Amino acid sequence: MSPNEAALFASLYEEHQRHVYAYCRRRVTADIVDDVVADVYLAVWRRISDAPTADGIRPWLYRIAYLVTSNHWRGASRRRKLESKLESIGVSSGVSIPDQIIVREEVREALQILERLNSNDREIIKLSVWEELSNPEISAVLQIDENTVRQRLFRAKKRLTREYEQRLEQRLEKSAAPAAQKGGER
Amino acid sequence: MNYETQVLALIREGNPIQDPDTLTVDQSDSAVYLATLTTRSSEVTNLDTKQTEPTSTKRSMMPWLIAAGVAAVIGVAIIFAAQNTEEAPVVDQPTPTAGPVTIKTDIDRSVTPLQGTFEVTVGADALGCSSGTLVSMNSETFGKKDNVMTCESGPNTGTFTIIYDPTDTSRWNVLESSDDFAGLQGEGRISFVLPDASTVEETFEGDIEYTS
Repeated sequence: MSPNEAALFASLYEEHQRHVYAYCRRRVTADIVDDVVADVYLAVWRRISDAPTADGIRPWLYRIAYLVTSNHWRGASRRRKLESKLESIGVSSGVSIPDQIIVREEVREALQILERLNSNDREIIKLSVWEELSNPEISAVLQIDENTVRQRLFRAKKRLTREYEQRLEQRLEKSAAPAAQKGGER
Repeated sequence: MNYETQVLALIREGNPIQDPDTLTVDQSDSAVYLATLTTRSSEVTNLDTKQTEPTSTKRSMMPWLIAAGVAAVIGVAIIFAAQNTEEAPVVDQPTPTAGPVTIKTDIDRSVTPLQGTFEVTVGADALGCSSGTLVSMNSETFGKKDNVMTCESGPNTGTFTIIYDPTDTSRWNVLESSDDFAGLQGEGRISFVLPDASTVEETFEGDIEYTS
């Protein structure tokens, strides 16, 4: 590593570590986030010669974090299938329950809806709402053109809203049913 | 407030890290952190090797036994034929055109573009090359690297280019090739270790074949 690259790595680490950590923590559980962040910085170190100029640094870091967390999820998905099979035959996987953030019911429900979206829609919503990235920045992270970002974001929001609306209607029906029953009993 | 605004507001509220700037994370010195990462990468690779080797040995046991049996029968047949013929038969050795390979590289990161050497530890006959030099550069595909490999030892001359995504679980494949390597195709998995801050040792494991 040349002195310039070493200095660049130091600045990427010192100035952006919190944001990289936050990106990863928003996508993986607290018990593994340090390992995932380390994988991100390992990849950063390997790609340090590709690092863009100051303006594009954060999307570039998020791009790497996106690839690393995606790899992590593919591995985790395989593990979950195995755990599910083990549990179906009565063998405990011994894996601790992932940490749950204590939030109010409405927020929990909205997050559940978000998690039910497909991975592309979910990621684009998170990049827009949680990382607060602009469309050009999302385009750099996902390596798709800006028009596609706009369309996907539009569609993802529609799906999210539709699901949310359905849940609200179901909740209203549930709360209306006992009231109607009580009325009928009188 | 419409439903879209409502649900997006709830998701915003559910952001596990509301303000990264208020996070208290371990802010150790970047050089120390890098040193930890390089050690960690070696440990992870060693662990992976220990875990995968027994599995592959078990899996490959049966084909090897069959191959050994077939080879023994052919060997006996050749010896028998040679003993019963005045002139020893001339057997053309077919040029292997496919098989598993393992290519190990040793890259110096202190020069630009990155340069190094490679050694084919498995499948040198199938590839037609046992060692050579390489130049590693940014690919035209975003985030990927191209290793342009020039063979310097072995029956084949020319170059072939391996493209890969330099994360430790990614895959590689042959992007293009020239001269004796024309028609070379291949793919597999890549792992790497960082012995020190200016060196990277990569291992490309997979399968190659020559297509006409």
